[in-house]
Amino acid sequence: MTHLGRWLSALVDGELDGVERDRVLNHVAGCDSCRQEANSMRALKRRLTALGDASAEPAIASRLIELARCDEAVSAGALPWAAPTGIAHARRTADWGSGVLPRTWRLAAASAGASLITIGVLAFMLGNGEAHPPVPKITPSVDSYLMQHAFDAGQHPAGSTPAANSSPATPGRSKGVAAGHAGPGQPASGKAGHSLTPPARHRTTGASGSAATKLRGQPAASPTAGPSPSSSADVSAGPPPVTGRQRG
Amino acid sequence: MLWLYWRRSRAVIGAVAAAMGALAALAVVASFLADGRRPGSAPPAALGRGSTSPGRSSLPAPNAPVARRGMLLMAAAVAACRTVPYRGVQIVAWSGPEGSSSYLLDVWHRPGGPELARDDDAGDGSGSLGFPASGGGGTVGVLSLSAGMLELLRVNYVLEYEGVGTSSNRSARIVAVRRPDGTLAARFWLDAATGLPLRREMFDRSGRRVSEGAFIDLQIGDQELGELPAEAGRAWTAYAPASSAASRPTVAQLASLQVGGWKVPGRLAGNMILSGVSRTATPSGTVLDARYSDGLSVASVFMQRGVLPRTLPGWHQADVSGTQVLATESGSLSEQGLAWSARGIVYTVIADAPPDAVAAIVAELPHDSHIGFWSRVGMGLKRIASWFDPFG
Repeated sequence: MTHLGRWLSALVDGELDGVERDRVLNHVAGCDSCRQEANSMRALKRRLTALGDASAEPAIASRLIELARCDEAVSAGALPWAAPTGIAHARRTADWGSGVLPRTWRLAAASAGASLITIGVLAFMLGNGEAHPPVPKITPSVDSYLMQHAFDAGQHPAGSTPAANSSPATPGRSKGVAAGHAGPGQPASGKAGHSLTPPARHRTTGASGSAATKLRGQPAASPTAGPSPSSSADVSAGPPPVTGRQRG
Repeated sequence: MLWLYWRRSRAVIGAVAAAMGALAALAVVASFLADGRRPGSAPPAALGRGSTSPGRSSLPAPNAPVARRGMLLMAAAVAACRTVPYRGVQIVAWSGPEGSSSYLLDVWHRPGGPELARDDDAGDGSGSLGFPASGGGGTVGVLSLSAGMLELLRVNYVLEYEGVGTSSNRSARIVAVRRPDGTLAARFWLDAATGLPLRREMFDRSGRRVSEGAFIDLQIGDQELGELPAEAGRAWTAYAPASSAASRPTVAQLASLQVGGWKVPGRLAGNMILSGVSRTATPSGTVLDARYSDGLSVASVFMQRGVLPRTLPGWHQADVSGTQVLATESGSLSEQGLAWSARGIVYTVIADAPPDAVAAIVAELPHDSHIGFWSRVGMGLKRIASWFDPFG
């Protein structure tokens, strides 16, 4: 524990003269601790001097001087916002310079970004379709459409319950024969049931030839055949046989 | 002297003769390659029965005897379809690369009235189609001809008388229907006694037969007709035209539909011309039916405001011309219902037409195209902005 404080360092630095120097020297002569302290400071000074010129960078030096002034201002009771050159300003300047936003700014930026993303996602979801009110989901009424299509084709569908004596006699035609040749489980006209009422018809998958011929149990004609060749098998139950033609 | 000249010029004359010979040979080869057949051979249409390919043929001139006779025979067939009483059974078959389908129809016709048709099953109570009200709804015959269809045939095709034949044990005259490029589109067998169409075959552009319809039983005369079945009620009202089937919707009528939000094309692929518009009211809204025909095929395009669910019971996903649609049954596009929704409208197409023609029709109608990311976001922002628009 030294007794002289800063006077001792001033003595070592040679900054005292006259009466002050004498008084300090008298004390050091009679005080062991102060004498040891003075010796240590002289030894340190010599060592530092031996290191040569170690002056700080001008920028760092100015920053340190600025900080020292700030401390003096604070200790003198000056308001920090009244002195923009204070430590807060220095720190703020350092923050802007390093690209790190202050907390309030970070919060504002995050809020704005989240809002933009939310609006973008919402717009993307709502953009799937035109800007009109939502339209109902429709199931096509196929049975009604098929009936209307028959009208379009120039035919009028007949009712399901014709007059008792009006059923065509269709001589030479047997529905049983047709059903037999349509394959097991196939109805006479080759139509199968369905769930919604689309017309599931008799199908001969993979046969692109004459389905009519197949339905009647006759060999399928060539898909590329022209008018069916004349055949002696002109049976009433078969498909309409077509004989050849000639220019007349 | 002459001998001297000959000796001097014979080399030149020989070279010229050789060049002309080579030119003639090239012309013959080019003609052979262009026609795809040996020069001098008869076109397939002129071949008798047994021809295996209804390929390309030279078209007759409009005033050629075969063309005039073909037109007259078809006009007589239209008149016969209107005036001759008959009843019978027709078989209609459609075939495509994926399979074929066929059905039978009972038909009746009384002079002056429409042809009544009923699914062959409906009469015996089996009712496989499940149309309790209509019986044979959806089963369409292909033999009946109308004046409107003949007019479209005349516009889109060339008719040609080909000869005589038989069908359904009846003598018939055969009329070929050719496309403008000469390929065979269809053949009609017309009854020699009455003029009624007995049989029709349709071919696609490759010459493959895609459809045939024929009477397998035909009885002509009032005494054979008996009592006709009741006609199914018609829930649809004609929007346009109001009178004859030969007339077409006017430009004003189409404009009126456009104002009402219905974009009805006047023409579709394959020379399918709009020949009528009907509509009906349903609990889910108004349904519009636009009827198209080229004289041979008939396509009905049904439109209703709304969207189609992704899946429907009884339907399956199908790819038609690169577009995903819902189809009522697998296989050939003919006689098949195809449905999709675009721009707030549900489209349903039912056509008696070759598969390639149906695919072309579907491709030409509106479809929702894939929109980009920013376009979609922009549309969504516009929609959000409309929420805050006090005048919106």
